[in-house]
Amino acid sequence: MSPTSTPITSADLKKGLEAKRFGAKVYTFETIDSTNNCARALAGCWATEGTLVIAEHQTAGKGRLGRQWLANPGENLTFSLVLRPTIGPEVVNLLPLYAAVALAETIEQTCGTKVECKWPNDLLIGGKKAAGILLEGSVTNDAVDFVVLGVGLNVNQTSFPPEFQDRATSLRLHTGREFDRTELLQTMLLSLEKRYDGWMKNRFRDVLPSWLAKTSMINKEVTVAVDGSTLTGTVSGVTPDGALILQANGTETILFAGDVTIVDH
Amino acid sequence: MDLNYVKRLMKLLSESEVDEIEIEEEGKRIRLARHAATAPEVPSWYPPFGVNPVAVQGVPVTPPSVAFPSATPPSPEGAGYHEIKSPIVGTFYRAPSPDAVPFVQVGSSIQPGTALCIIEAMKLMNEIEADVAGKIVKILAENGQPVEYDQTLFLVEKS
Repeated sequence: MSPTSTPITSADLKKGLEAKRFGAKVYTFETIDSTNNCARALAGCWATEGTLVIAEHQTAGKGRLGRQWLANPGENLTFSLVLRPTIGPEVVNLLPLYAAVALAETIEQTCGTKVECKWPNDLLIGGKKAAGILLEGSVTNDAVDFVVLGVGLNVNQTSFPPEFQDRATSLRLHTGREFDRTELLQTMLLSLEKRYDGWMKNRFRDVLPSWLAKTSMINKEVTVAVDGSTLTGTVSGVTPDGALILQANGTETILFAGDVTIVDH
Repeated sequence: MDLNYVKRLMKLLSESEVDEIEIEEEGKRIRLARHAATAPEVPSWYPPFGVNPVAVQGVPVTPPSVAFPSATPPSPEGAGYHEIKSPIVGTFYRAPSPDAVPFVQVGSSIQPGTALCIIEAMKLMNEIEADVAGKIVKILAENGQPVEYDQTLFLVEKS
Protein backbone atom coordinates (compact mmCIF):
# COMPACT_ATOMS: atom_id res chain seq x y z
CA MET A 1 0.00 0.00 0.00
CA SER A 2 1.52 3.32 -0.99
CA PRO A 3 1.40 6.20 1.49
CA THR A 4 -1.19 7.99 -0.63
CA SER A 5 -3.59 5.06 -0.54
CA THR A 6 -3.54 4.83 3.26
CA PRO A 7 -7.13 5.12 4.43
CA ILE A 8 -8.15 8.58 5.53
CA THR A 9 -8.76 8.67 9.26
CA SER A 10 -10.68 11.17 11.30
CA ALA A 11 -7.58 11.81 13.46
CA ASP A 12 -5.32 12.51 10.47
CA LEU A 13 -7.92 14.74 8.87
CA LYS A 14 -8.32 16.86 11.99
CA LYS A 15 -4.57 17.40 12.29
CA GLY A 16 -3.99 20.64 10.48
CA LEU A 17 -7.62 21.08 9.44
CA GLU A 18 -8.14 24.83 9.18
CA ALA A 19 -11.87 24.71 8.47
CA LYS A 20 -13.81 25.44 11.64
CA ARG A 21 -17.13 23.68 11.01
CA PHE A 22 -16.70 21.63 7.85
CA GLY A 23 -15.18 18.36 9.01
CA ALA A 24 -15.58 19.10 12.72
CA LYS A 25 -17.53 15.84 12.99
CA VAL A 26 -16.30 13.02 10.77
CA TYR A 27 -17.63 9.55 10.04
CA THR A 28 -15.23 7.34 8.10
CA PHE A 29 -16.08 4.07 6.40
CA GLU A 30 -13.96 1.48 4.66
CA THR A 31 -16.98 0.46 2.61
CA ILE A 32 -20.42 1.98 2.47
CA ASP A 33 -23.19 1.92 -0.09
CA SER A 34 -23.22 5.68 -0.56
CA THR A 35 -21.83 8.52 1.53
CA ASN A 36 -24.80 10.65 0.47
CA ASN A 37 -27.26 8.11 1.88
CA CYS A 38 -25.40 8.05 5.17
CA ALA A 39 -25.12 11.83 5.36
CA ARG A 40 -28.82 12.18 4.60
CA ALA A 41 -29.67 9.76 7.39
CA LEU A 42 -27.44 11.69 9.78
CA ALA A 43 -28.83 15.03 8.65
CA GLY A 44 -32.36 13.74 9.20
CA CYS A 45 -31.45 13.08 12.82
CA TRP A 46 -28.94 15.14 14.72
CA ALA A 47 -26.06 15.96 12.42
CA THR A 48 -24.87 19.54 12.60
CA GLU A 49 -23.68 21.56 9.64
CA GLY A 50 -20.28 20.46 8.46
CA THR A 51 -20.72 16.82 9.46
CA LEU A 52 -18.61 14.83 7.03
CA VAL A 53 -18.95 11.26 5.78
CA ILE A 54 -15.97 9.72 4.01
CA ALA A 55 -15.69 6.30 2.42
CA GLU A 56 -12.79 4.51 0.80
CA HIS A 57 -15.17 2.45 -1.25
CA GLN A 58 -18.80 2.94 -2.23
CA THR A 59 -20.75 -0.08 -3.35
CA ALA A 60 -23.54 2.07 -4.75
CA GLY A 61 -21.97 5.48 -5.18
CA LYS A 62 -24.72 7.72 -6.33
CA GLY A 63 -24.94 9.66 -9.51
CA ARG A 64 -28.03 11.40 -10.69
CA LEU A 65 -31.25 9.45 -10.11
CA GLY A 66 -29.68 6.27 -8.89
CA ARG A 67 -26.89 6.06 -11.46
CA GLN A 68 -23.69 4.64 -10.05
CA TRP A 69 -20.49 6.56 -9.51
CA LEU A 70 -17.44 4.38 -10.20
CA ALA A 71 -14.25 4.79 -8.20
CA ASN A 72 -11.37 2.52 -7.26
CA PRO A 73 -11.05 2.01 -3.50
CA GLY A 74 -8.32 4.01 -1.77
CA GLU A 75 -7.40 6.10 -4.79
CA ASN A 76 -9.98 8.83 -4.84
CA LEU A 77 -11.99 11.10 -2.63
CA THR A 78 -15.61 10.30 -2.01
CA PHE A 79 -17.29 12.31 0.68
CA SER A 80 -20.54 13.96 1.66
CA LEU A 81 -21.04 17.04 3.75
CA VAL A 82 -24.14 18.10 5.66
CA LEU A 83 -25.17 21.71 5.00
CA ARG A 84 -27.93 23.62 6.72
CA PRO A 85 -28.08 26.83 4.70
CA THR A 86 -30.27 29.61 6.05
CA ILE A 87 -31.82 30.33 2.66
CA GLY A 88 -35.22 29.86 1.11
CA PRO A 89 -35.91 27.09 -1.41
CA GLU A 90 -35.94 29.65 -4.24
CA VAL A 91 -32.14 29.93 -4.25
CA VAL A 92 -31.25 26.37 -3.31
CA ASN A 93 -30.55 25.65 -6.99
CA LEU A 94 -27.44 27.80 -6.79
CA LEU A 95 -25.75 25.42 -4.36
CA PRO A 96 -24.46 23.04 -7.07
CA LEU A 97 -22.69 26.00 -8.70
CA TYR A 98 -21.23 27.10 -5.36
CA ALA A 99 -19.81 23.62 -4.78
CA ALA A 100 -18.41 23.41 -8.30
CA VAL A 101 -16.60 26.74 -8.00
CA ALA A 102 -15.18 26.07 -4.53
CA LEU A 103 -13.88 22.65 -5.57
CA ALA A 104 -12.53 23.89 -8.89
CA GLU A 105 -10.61 26.65 -7.11
CA THR A 106 -9.06 24.14 -4.72
CA ILE A 107 -7.98 21.81 -7.48
CA GLU A 108 -6.52 24.66 -9.49
CA GLN A 109 -4.51 25.91 -6.52
CA THR A 110 -3.33 22.45 -5.52
CA CYS A 111 -2.54 21.08 -8.95
CA GLY A 112 -1.75 24.21 -10.89
CA THR A 113 -4.06 23.05 -13.64
CA LYS A 114 -7.10 24.69 -15.18
CA VAL A 115 -10.44 23.25 -14.11
CA GLU A 116 -13.63 23.88 -16.04
CA CYS A 117 -17.14 23.79 -14.64
CA LYS A 118 -19.66 21.90 -16.74
CA TRP A 119 -23.27 22.73 -16.04
CA PRO A 120 -24.51 21.89 -13.60
CA ASN A 121 -22.39 19.57 -11.53
CA ASP A 122 -19.22 18.28 -13.20
CA LEU A 123 -15.63 19.40 -13.09
CA LEU A 124 -13.52 18.84 -16.20
CA ILE A 125 -9.78 18.81 -16.62
CA GLY A 126 -8.56 18.83 -20.19
CA GLY A 127 -12.14 18.26 -21.31
CA LYS A 128 -12.49 15.05 -19.28
CA LYS A 129 -14.53 14.53 -16.14
CA ALA A 130 -12.46 14.61 -12.97
CA ALA A 131 -15.19 15.16 -10.41
CA GLY A 132 -18.92 14.90 -9.98
CA ILE A 133 -21.10 16.63 -7.46
CA LEU A 134 -24.47 15.37 -6.31
CA LEU A 135 -26.60 17.34 -3.91
CA GLU A 136 -29.65 16.04 -2.15
CA GLY A 137 -31.82 18.40 -0.20
CA SER A 138 -34.80 18.23 2.06
CA VAL A 139 -37.10 21.20 1.69
CA THR A 140 -40.58 22.30 2.62
CA ASN A 141 -42.64 25.08 1.08
CA ASP A 142 -40.73 27.81 2.81
CA ALA A 143 -37.54 26.40 4.27
CA VAL A 144 -34.51 24.28 3.55
CA ASP A 145 -34.05 21.68 6.25
CA PHE A 146 -30.71 20.38 5.01
CA VAL A 147 -28.68 19.79 1.88
CA VAL A 148 -26.16 16.98 1.51
CA LEU A 149 -23.26 17.85 -0.74
CA GLY A 150 -21.73 14.71 -2.22
CA VAL A 151 -18.42 14.81 -4.05
CA GLY A 152 -16.59 12.18 -6.04
CA LEU A 153 -13.13 13.30 -7.17
CA ASN A 154 -10.74 11.14 -9.14
CA VAL A 155 -7.41 11.72 -7.41
CA ASN A 156 -4.83 8.98 -7.87
CA GLN A 157 -6.74 6.58 -10.11
CA THR A 158 -4.72 5.82 -13.26
CA SER A 159 -6.94 3.41 -15.11
CA PHE A 160 -10.58 3.56 -16.03
CA PRO A 161 -12.85 1.03 -17.71
CA PRO A 162 -12.49 1.24 -21.51
CA GLU A 163 -15.87 2.89 -21.94
CA PHE A 164 -14.80 5.79 -19.69
CA GLN A 165 -11.19 6.23 -20.83
CA ASP A 166 -12.01 8.99 -23.28
CA ARG A 167 -14.26 10.82 -20.86
CA ALA A 168 -12.66 10.44 -17.41
CA THR A 169 -9.41 11.63 -15.90
CA SER A 170 -7.81 12.05 -12.49
CA LEU A 171 -5.51 14.60 -10.92
CA ARG A 172 -2.66 12.08 -11.14
CA LEU A 173 -3.31 11.23 -14.76
CA HIS A 174 -3.33 14.89 -15.67
CA THR A 175 -0.35 16.06 -13.61
CA GLY A 176 1.76 12.90 -13.31
CA ARG A 177 1.90 13.40 -9.56
CA GLU A 178 0.39 11.42 -6.71
CA PHE A 179 -1.60 13.39 -4.17
CA ASP A 180 -2.02 13.06 -0.42
CA ARG A 181 -5.77 12.66 -0.20
CA THR A 182 -5.98 13.81 3.41
CA GLU A 183 -4.22 17.09 2.65
CA LEU A 184 -6.37 17.57 -0.43
CA LEU A 185 -9.55 17.01 1.55
CA GLN A 186 -8.41 19.46 4.24
CA THR A 187 -7.87 22.11 1.57
CA MET A 188 -11.25 21.38 -0.01
CA LEU A 189 -13.09 21.63 3.29
CA LEU A 190 -11.51 25.01 3.99
CA SER A 191 -12.37 26.30 0.52
CA LEU A 192 -15.93 24.96 0.72
CA GLU A 193 -16.42 26.59 4.13
CA LYS A 194 -14.97 29.96 3.13
CA ARG A 195 -16.99 30.21 -0.07
CA TYR A 196 -20.13 29.00 1.71
CA ASP A 197 -19.85 31.60 4.46
CA GLY A 198 -18.96 34.33 1.99
CA TRP A 199 -21.74 33.63 -0.48
CA MET A 200 -24.41 32.93 2.14
CA LYS A 201 -24.54 36.68 2.91
CA ASN A 202 -26.15 37.43 -0.44
CA ARG A 203 -27.98 34.10 -0.63
CA PHE A 204 -25.53 32.65 -3.16
CA ARG A 205 -26.48 35.18 -5.85
CA ASP A 206 -22.82 36.15 -6.19
CA VAL A 207 -21.77 32.67 -7.24
CA LEU A 208 -22.76 33.24 -10.86
CA PRO A 209 -19.88 35.49 -12.01
CA SER A 210 -17.36 33.10 -10.48
CA TRP A 211 -19.03 30.10 -12.09
CA LEU A 212 -19.25 31.81 -15.47
CA ALA A 213 -15.54 32.61 -15.29
CA LYS A 214 -14.84 28.90 -14.90
CA THR A 215 -17.01 27.47 -17.62
CA SER A 216 -16.14 27.03 -21.26
CA MET A 217 -19.70 26.17 -22.23
CA ILE A 218 -20.84 29.62 -23.30
CA ASN A 219 -21.34 29.75 -27.08
CA LYS A 220 -20.64 26.02 -27.32
CA GLU A 221 -22.94 23.64 -29.12
CA VAL A 222 -24.39 21.04 -26.80
CA THR A 223 -26.94 18.27 -26.78
CA VAL A 224 -29.15 17.97 -23.73
CA ALA A 225 -31.13 14.90 -22.82
CA VAL A 226 -34.11 16.06 -20.84
CA ASP A 227 -37.51 14.57 -20.06
CA GLY A 228 -37.04 11.74 -22.53
CA SER A 229 -36.10 13.91 -25.48
CA THR A 230 -32.90 15.46 -26.83
CA LEU A 231 -32.29 19.11 -27.60
CA THR A 232 -29.38 20.46 -29.59
CA GLY A 233 -28.44 24.08 -29.40
CA THR A 234 -25.94 26.70 -28.35
CA VAL A 235 -25.45 27.73 -24.73
CA SER A 236 -25.93 31.47 -24.37
CA GLY A 237 -25.69 31.77 -20.60
CA VAL A 238 -27.30 30.92 -17.30
CA THR A 239 -30.22 32.61 -15.57
CA PRO A 240 -29.91 34.26 -12.14
CA ASP A 241 -31.34 30.99 -10.79
CA GLY A 242 -28.52 29.02 -12.38
CA ALA A 243 -30.61 27.45 -15.14
CA LEU A 244 -28.99 26.86 -18.52
CA ILE A 245 -30.08 29.07 -21.42
CA LEU A 246 -30.04 27.24 -24.72
CA GLN A 247 -30.62 28.77 -28.15
CA ALA A 248 -32.00 26.24 -30.60
CA ASN A 249 -33.67 26.93 -33.94
CA GLY A 250 -34.35 30.54 -33.03
CA THR A 251 -35.96 29.57 -29.76
CA GLU A 252 -34.63 30.19 -26.29
CA THR A 253 -35.04 27.32 -23.85
CA ILE A 254 -34.41 27.53 -20.12
CA LEU A 255 -33.27 24.24 -18.65
CA PHE A 256 -33.27 23.37 -14.97
CA ALA A 257 -32.37 19.74 -15.52
CA GLY A 258 -30.82 17.55 -18.16
CA ASP A 259 -27.69 15.66 -19.17
CA VAL A 260 -25.48 17.93 -21.20
CA THR A 261 -22.94 16.75 -23.74
CA ILE A 262 -20.61 19.26 -25.33
CA VAL A 263 -20.45 18.64 -29.07
CA ASP A 264 -16.89 18.36 -30.38
CA HIS A 265 -16.14 19.72 -33.81
CA MET B 1 -32.80 10.19 21.68
CA ASP B 2 -36.48 9.41 21.61
CA LEU B 3 -39.01 7.34 19.74
CA ASN B 4 -39.55 10.01 17.11
CA TYR B 5 -35.89 9.93 16.31
CA VAL B 6 -35.99 6.17 15.84
CA LYS B 7 -39.09 6.47 13.69
CA ARG B 8 -37.35 9.04 11.54
CA LEU B 9 -34.36 6.76 11.11
CA MET B 10 -36.67 3.92 10.15
CA LYS B 11 -38.33 6.11 7.58
CA LEU B 12 -35.02 7.16 6.11
CA LEU B 13 -33.88 3.55 5.92
CA SER B 14 -37.04 2.37 4.24
CA GLU B 15 -36.85 5.18 1.69
CA SER B 16 -33.17 4.74 0.93
CA GLU B 17 -31.14 2.07 -0.80
CA VAL B 18 -29.22 1.43 2.41
CA ASP B 19 -29.59 -2.02 3.92
CA GLU B 20 -28.27 -1.09 7.29
CA ILE B 21 -27.49 2.00 9.30
CA GLU B 22 -25.34 1.93 12.40
CA ILE B 23 -24.59 5.17 14.17
CA GLU B 24 -22.53 5.71 17.27
CA GLU B 25 -22.15 9.09 18.81
CA GLU B 26 -21.18 10.20 22.25
CA GLY B 27 -21.84 6.84 23.83
CA LYS B 28 -25.13 6.29 22.03
CA ARG B 29 -25.34 3.61 19.41
CA ILE B 30 -28.17 2.49 17.21
CA ARG B 31 -28.36 0.05 14.37
CA LEU B 32 -31.20 -0.43 11.94
CA ALA B 33 -31.29 -3.04 9.21
CA ARG B 34 -33.80 -3.99 6.58
CA HIS B 35 -33.41 -7.75 6.78
CA ALA B 36 -34.09 -9.48 10.06
CA ALA B 37 -32.19 -12.56 8.84
CA THR B 38 -28.90 -10.70 8.68
CA ALA B 39 -29.58 -8.53 11.66
CA PRO B 40 -31.72 -10.36 14.16
CA GLU B 41 -31.89 -7.39 16.48
CA VAL B 42 -33.52 -4.72 14.41
CA PRO B 43 -32.80 -2.18 15.61
CA SER B 44 -30.29 -2.71 18.35
CA TRP B 45 -30.18 -0.18 21.08
CA TYR B 46 -27.40 0.01 23.56
CA PRO B 47 -27.33 1.80 26.87
CA PRO B 48 -27.44 4.42 28.09
CA PHE B 49 -30.97 5.19 27.06
CA GLY B 50 -33.67 6.09 29.45
CA VAL B 51 -36.42 4.42 27.48
CA ASN B 52 -37.47 0.87 26.89
CA PRO B 53 -36.57 -0.59 23.53
CA VAL B 54 -39.59 -0.71 21.27
CA ALA B 55 -40.55 -3.60 19.08
CA VAL B 56 -39.79 -2.38 15.61
CA GLN B 57 -38.73 -5.59 13.96
CA GLY B 58 -40.15 -6.06 10.54
CA VAL B 59 -39.83 -2.52 9.36
CA PRO B 60 -42.19 -2.51 6.42
CA VAL B 61 -40.23 -2.31 3.22
CA THR B 62 -42.37 -2.32 0.15
CA PRO B 63 -41.00 -4.46 -2.69
CA PRO B 64 -39.58 -2.47 -5.59
CA SER B 65 -41.83 -1.68 -8.46
CA VAL B 66 -41.33 0.29 -11.60
CA ALA B 67 -44.97 0.97 -12.12
CA PHE B 68 -46.31 4.41 -11.48
CA PRO B 69 -50.03 4.20 -10.95
CA SER B 70 -52.12 6.85 -12.54
CA ALA B 71 -51.32 10.25 -11.14
CA THR B 72 -54.82 11.48 -11.81
CA PRO B 73 -57.48 9.37 -10.11
CA PRO B 74 -61.09 10.55 -10.07
CA SER B 75 -61.24 14.17 -9.12
CA PRO B 76 -62.08 14.72 -5.48
CA GLU B 77 -65.33 16.49 -5.04
CA GLY B 78 -65.48 19.78 -3.27
CA ALA B 79 -62.78 22.19 -2.34
CA GLY B 80 -61.10 22.79 0.97
CA TYR B 81 -58.20 20.47 0.50
CA HIS B 82 -54.76 21.55 1.60
CA GLU B 83 -52.50 22.23 -1.36
CA ILE B 84 -48.86 21.24 -1.28
CA LYS B 85 -47.05 23.39 -3.79
CA SER B 86 -43.68 23.19 -5.43
CA PRO B 87 -41.17 25.44 -3.68
CA ILE B 88 -38.87 25.40 -6.71
CA VAL B 89 -38.76 24.94 -10.46
CA GLY B 90 -37.57 21.54 -11.62
CA THR B 91 -38.47 18.04 -12.72
CA PHE B 92 -40.99 16.15 -10.61
CA TYR B 93 -40.23 12.58 -9.55
CA ARG B 94 -42.52 10.45 -7.48
CA ALA B 95 -39.80 8.00 -6.39
CA PRO B 96 -36.19 8.33 -5.25
CA SER B 97 -34.90 6.35 -8.23
CA PRO B 98 -36.45 4.93 -11.39
CA ASP B 99 -36.87 1.42 -9.95
CA ALA B 100 -38.05 2.48 -6.52
CA VAL B 101 -41.60 2.67 -5.28
CA PRO B 102 -43.26 6.09 -5.21
CA PHE B 103 -42.98 8.02 -1.97
CA VAL B 104 -46.75 8.33 -1.68
CA GLN B 105 -49.89 7.20 -3.47
CA VAL B 106 -53.42 8.51 -3.46
CA GLY B 107 -54.75 7.40 -0.10
CA SER B 108 -51.38 7.49 1.65
CA SER B 109 -51.43 8.91 5.13
CA ILE B 110 -48.84 11.59 5.69
CA GLN B 111 -47.39 13.48 8.60
CA PRO B 112 -45.42 16.71 8.70
CA GLY B 113 -41.99 15.71 7.41
CA THR B 114 -43.19 12.80 5.26
CA ALA B 115 -41.25 12.78 1.99
CA LEU B 116 -43.68 13.26 -0.90
CA CYS B 117 -41.59 13.57 -4.05
CA ILE B 118 -38.31 14.75 -5.48
CA ILE B 119 -37.92 17.83 -7.58
CA GLU B 120 -34.67 17.89 -9.47
CA ALA B 121 -33.04 21.08 -10.58
CA MET B 122 -29.37 21.57 -11.35
CA LYS B 123 -28.77 17.95 -10.32
CA LEU B 124 -29.86 18.87 -6.86
CA MET B 125 -32.39 16.31 -5.75
CA ASN B 126 -34.81 18.15 -3.49
CA GLU B 127 -36.96 15.90 -1.39
CA ILE B 128 -40.18 17.74 -0.73
CA GLU B 129 -41.68 17.16 2.69
CA ALA B 130 -45.27 17.40 3.83
CA ASP B 131 -46.13 20.35 6.03
CA VAL B 132 -49.37 18.90 7.39
CA ALA B 133 -50.85 15.62 8.57
CA GLY B 134 -53.57 14.01 6.51
CA LYS B 135 -54.28 11.85 3.49
CA ILE B 136 -53.24 12.34 -0.12
CA VAL B 137 -56.38 12.72 -2.21
CA LYS B 138 -54.88 13.79 -5.51
CA ILE B 139 -51.50 13.95 -7.21
CA LEU B 140 -51.48 16.75 -9.74
CA ALA B 141 -48.03 16.42 -11.34
CA GLU B 142 -46.80 13.74 -13.70
CA ASN B 143 -43.68 11.73 -12.98
CA GLY B 144 -40.66 12.98 -14.93
CA GLN B 145 -42.34 16.21 -16.04
CA PRO B 146 -41.29 19.79 -15.31
CA VAL B 147 -43.08 21.70 -12.58
CA GLU B 148 -43.16 25.42 -11.97
CA TYR B 149 -42.61 27.39 -8.79
CA ASP B 150 -45.80 27.43 -6.70
CA GLN B 151 -47.50 24.79 -8.85
CA THR B 152 -49.82 22.60 -6.79
CA LEU B 153 -48.41 19.07 -6.58
CA PHE B 154 -50.66 17.34 -4.07
CA LEU B 155 -54.09 17.81 -2.56
CA VAL B 156 -54.29 16.67 1.04
CA GLU B 157 -57.28 16.03 3.24
CA LYS B 158 -56.06 17.30 6.55
CA SER B 159 -56.60 15.14 9.59
